[in-house]
Amino acid sequence: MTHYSHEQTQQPAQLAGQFAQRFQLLAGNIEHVIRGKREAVELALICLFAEGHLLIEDVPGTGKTTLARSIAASVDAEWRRVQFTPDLLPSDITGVSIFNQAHQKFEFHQGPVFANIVLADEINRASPKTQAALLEVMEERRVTVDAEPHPVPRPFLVVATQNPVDMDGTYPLPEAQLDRFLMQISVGYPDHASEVQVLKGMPTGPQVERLPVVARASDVAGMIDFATRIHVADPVYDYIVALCAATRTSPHLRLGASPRGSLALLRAARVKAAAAGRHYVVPEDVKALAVPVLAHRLIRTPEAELRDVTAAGVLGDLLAGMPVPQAA
Amino acid sequence: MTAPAWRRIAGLVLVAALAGTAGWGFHRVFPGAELIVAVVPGAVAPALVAALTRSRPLWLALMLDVVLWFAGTIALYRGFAPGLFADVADAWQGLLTTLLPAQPEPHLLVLVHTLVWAAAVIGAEVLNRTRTRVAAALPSIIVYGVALLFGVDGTGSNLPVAGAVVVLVVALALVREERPALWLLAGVPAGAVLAALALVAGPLLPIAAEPYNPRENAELPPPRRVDSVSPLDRVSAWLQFPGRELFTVKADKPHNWRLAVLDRYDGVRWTSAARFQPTGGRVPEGEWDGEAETVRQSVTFSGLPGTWLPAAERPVEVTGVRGLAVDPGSGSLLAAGKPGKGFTYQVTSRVAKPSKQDLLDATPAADASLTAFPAGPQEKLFRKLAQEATKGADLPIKQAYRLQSYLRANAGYEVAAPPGHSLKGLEFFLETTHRGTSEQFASAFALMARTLGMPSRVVVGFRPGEAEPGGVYRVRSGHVMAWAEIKFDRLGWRPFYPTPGRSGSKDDHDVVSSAIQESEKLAGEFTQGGTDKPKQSRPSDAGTAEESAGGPSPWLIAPMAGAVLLVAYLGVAMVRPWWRRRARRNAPGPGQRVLGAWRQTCDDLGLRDARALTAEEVVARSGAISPDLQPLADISNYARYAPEDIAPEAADEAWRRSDAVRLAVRARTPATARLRDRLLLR
Repeated sequence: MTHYSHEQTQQPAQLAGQFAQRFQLLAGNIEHVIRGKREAVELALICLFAEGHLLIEDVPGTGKTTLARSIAASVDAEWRRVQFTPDLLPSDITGVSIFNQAHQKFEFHQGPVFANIVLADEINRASPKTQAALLEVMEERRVTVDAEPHPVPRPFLVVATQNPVDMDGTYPLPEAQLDRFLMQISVGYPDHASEVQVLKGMPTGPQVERLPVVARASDVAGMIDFATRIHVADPVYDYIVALCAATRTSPHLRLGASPRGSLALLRAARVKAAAAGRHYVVPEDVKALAVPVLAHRLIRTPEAELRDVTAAGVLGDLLAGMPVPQAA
Repeated sequence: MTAPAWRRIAGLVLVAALAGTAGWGFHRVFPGAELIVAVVPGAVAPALVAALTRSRPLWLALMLDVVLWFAGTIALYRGFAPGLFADVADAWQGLLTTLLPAQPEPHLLVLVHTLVWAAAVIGAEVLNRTRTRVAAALPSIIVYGVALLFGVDGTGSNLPVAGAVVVLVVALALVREERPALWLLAGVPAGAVLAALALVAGPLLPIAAEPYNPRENAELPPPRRVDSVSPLDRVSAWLQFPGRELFTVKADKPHNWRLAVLDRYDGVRWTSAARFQPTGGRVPEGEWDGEAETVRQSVTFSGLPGTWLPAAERPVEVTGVRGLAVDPGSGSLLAAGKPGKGFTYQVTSRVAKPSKQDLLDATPAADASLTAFPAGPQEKLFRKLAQEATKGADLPIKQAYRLQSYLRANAGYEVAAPPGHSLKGLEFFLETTHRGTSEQFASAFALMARTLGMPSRVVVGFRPGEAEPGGVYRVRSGHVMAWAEIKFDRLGWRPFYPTPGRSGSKDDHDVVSSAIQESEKLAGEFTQGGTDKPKQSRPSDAGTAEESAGGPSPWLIAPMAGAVLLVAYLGVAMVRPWWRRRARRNAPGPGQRVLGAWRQTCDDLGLRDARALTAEEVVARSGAISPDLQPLADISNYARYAPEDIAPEAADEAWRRSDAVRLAVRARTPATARLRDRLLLR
């Protein structure tokens, strides 16, 4: 990254450079396993460093689980997988208090949510009550049992998946709960060349278990802290707010982005700027993240649904007509 | 990349030469050496200023140019001219209403000075501050076009000047082409072929035979009363005091000296509809283009009142009069101010000598204004007498001479006759008194001719005067005489002398003009004879202005306004991008300069209206054009969104990269597309 200012202001830029270096290292490491999906990998990492959570909606077998495992393996973090089923109880996720007769007291047994990276597989198959329990932990970052809070470790990333087909007997996440996810993405099928590479790599190719650790959990926490200090110029704030406000007045949308959506977009944009080696956010960062961060928060009008107008399409139109900030 | 110094200097020299040559295109308007004073400073000074202020702000150069323009006008006027700006604004109208060649007056030459200066300023600064090749020549070419237009009916050839302009434009294009000097020689044959083509094809163009003449559409000054007393009204008074010396004429032969022509009659007085135009000495020729006698006269004023200048019919060239004006219709001459005693000028006249057959073949011209007879019961009388007088005459010329003979035979000349030439007075003259001066005779003749459908007018002038040794004729007030003229097709105006006793060769001892002698001879041939007798008369008021000035013709204003708008548009189209780039480059603060560089680059890439594109998106679209685009986008983002102030060096770098991108865009864009974009103000 070239610097265009005076020498004393170069420290944030240098730190941003280091951030970008480590970010790219992580992404490259994960890409050894998740081939040809650099964008999805980077978005997942942005979620991690923005302290958000990721909802992946995709068909089975596209690498959703592998992605979560690869992230965990690369940062030397603890990870757990929870297969959501209709009979799953909230305590199966958060944990339970059991009376220890030896010590004559209740002891809290942590559930699978107490991990750095939690893979909530097919989250829409669990009952709303169980979903709510997970979403509460996602938001509060702690589990409260018997009035005693039990914080989850840091970093903490929930990667939830949904299967868009075979929806019988599922409980779709309500809009209010979708809002808790920083991003919703789709991994998608790999392209031809990448899939060939995957086949060639079996069974001796890179495995998640063999991925080298390129960052410790403490490093990730430091990077999270650094990302929050990325500078955002006033025109960029205006740009974000204007974009979210535009979703609220769009004739194709029944419900626009909430202020939580603007905050999420800002956090994600900060991480993306740092990942690009910048210590300041540019509109490009906002634009690049607008669809994954905002689209799942928007509710289309019935007419738009009938016309097959997607939320991503609406956002694309809004972005295409919105001038980027011209002055500092 | 900067052009070598020799190319730059040579370019400025060529621009100065082009502006000077374009100014020299006015040589048909101002044939004298005075044009040099107007042209040379205006052409040279801006080039010098441009050479000295190349790296300075434009405003400084323009200020110096204005100061030097002002200095040039001081040299032109030989002092400070309080009405300078009014002169500049009015000069074009003065030139369009001036018969060429124009007097080399400062108030006219200042237009040439200003045009040449403007062409040189624009050309030199365009050459100095842009990379265009021949755009610097455009103002000079426009000025040359203006010169052609103003001098279209002047004497002399445009060919050498046009050739020089072409050669200089080609030379400028070659000098601005950034190739080796030897390569420039390759353009010489191309220039020669172009010039040869122009020479061959030029005369074949439709406009070559009848070039557009703006003077034909120019609104002439309205008729004006040039003297407080009409010359026709002075006739009687002068005859009362016949010994007053008015002027002397030195001429080869005696002629009648015309003073004023009156062609409008309202029933009370004869007035003139003359539209006097300034002239440098040339007087447009009359309609007669056949055999003619050339008469040279030198006229010296003694006591002639008014500003009319006497001359034999028909003057074609006048020298020695400053502020001379002429009525192209009648050939009457007028001085700007009242000439004093001893004032002398020279006139060359062309006296028509049509053959007898020409006269017999002549038919009266069709001009309703010159055959108009004022409403009144007198018309019947005038027609009856005219028909009676011309009874049996089968040809118009015979009718005219019979009319002349009729008046000479049936009325007498009397100096003491009551003055005036109203319809009632003339009726009284024809029916009752049969006595009058040339005032009544000429008026009666003209009106009787009109009842026969012959266009007529009255001329006031003098007989040749008293002959003195050395071909000098001394003209006194008693020599005043009015006569009438009838207009024939092709022949033009023919004089008739209906006054008996004063205009005949046998009437007195004074010298008789050759025109009268000839007229009498022809009258004898065309009529059955007739005698006349002398008498005298008195004046009436002369004519005054009839029509108010309505300003220049719309036919002239429209194309000129269009031309001005076109030039202004071209100027804006040419200067606007440069001006905007310059403002951006010199914006206050490094941050603004960087933003200016980015906006400039977006403009150059044709993305001015794509405001929703981020810098990265611009790079994604156009990054292949230049490798400098990505770094420039980074600097732009840094300047706009980074928390720190950007360093001035970064702004310099941004502009370096912007210039590089611009050059890359230019290299990829065809010249026609660039020209189109510029003309469409994109």
